[in-house]
Amino acid sequence: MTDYPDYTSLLQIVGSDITVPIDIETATIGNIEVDIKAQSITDLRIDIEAQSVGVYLQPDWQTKEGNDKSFAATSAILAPNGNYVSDYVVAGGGDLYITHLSFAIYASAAEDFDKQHDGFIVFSHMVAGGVRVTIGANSGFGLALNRPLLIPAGATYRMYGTNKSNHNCYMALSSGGYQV
Amino acid sequence: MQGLKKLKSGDFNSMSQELQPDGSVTIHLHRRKGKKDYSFRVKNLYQLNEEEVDIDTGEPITKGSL
Repeated sequence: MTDYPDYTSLLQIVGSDITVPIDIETATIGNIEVDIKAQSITDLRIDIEAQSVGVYLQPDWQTKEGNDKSFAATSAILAPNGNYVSDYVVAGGGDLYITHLSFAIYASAAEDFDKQHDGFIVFSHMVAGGVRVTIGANSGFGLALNRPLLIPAGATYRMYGTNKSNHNCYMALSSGGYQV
Repeated sequence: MQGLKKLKSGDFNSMSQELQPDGSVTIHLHRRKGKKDYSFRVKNLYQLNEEEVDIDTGEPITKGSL
């Protein structure tokens, strides 16, 4: 590739209707940053041919970048209808995106181990009308969200569980996602 | 007090909480890129009377217990 010069200059295009075919041929690509701001994109096709290219979904990418967040909370013994709350005020400047959540409920006393343990959980953005995920299940449940639960920066993310069994139980709540 | 500061700054990847019988919460923070994990215990987390207490006893932290 010695027949070609090195290009490191900024290409900035501003217009109301733009069509830009880009064909890059090089031995190595150091870094390409593409920042597109548009009300609509008719067609965006990216064809990458390289020996090693990783294309990540957002949760995977943010985990790779170290922006992932995981939360786990375990209650004390909960009497029937007793509840447990775990709050986190979203700190650090970015919004929190919860992509998966789960809970477990289990008897605290050995004589109740083989009984049914019903639990009820709410994972939510603690504000009037805030988004929430509500689940009731026997012994526990897990869920991967196909659309993240968004908790804005500075808001409270609440994991809430209630023991709906007729005996004492523990509850364990967990969830995770990323913050950007 | 460093752990509570890390929690309030969001400087962690994973957090686990354990509710204690006295209503306080034991919190463990982990950040992959850091070389320190933090464990601490808090009463009335996020309330006006929030107080970090001794992680073993739940009693107020005094200079002698640090």
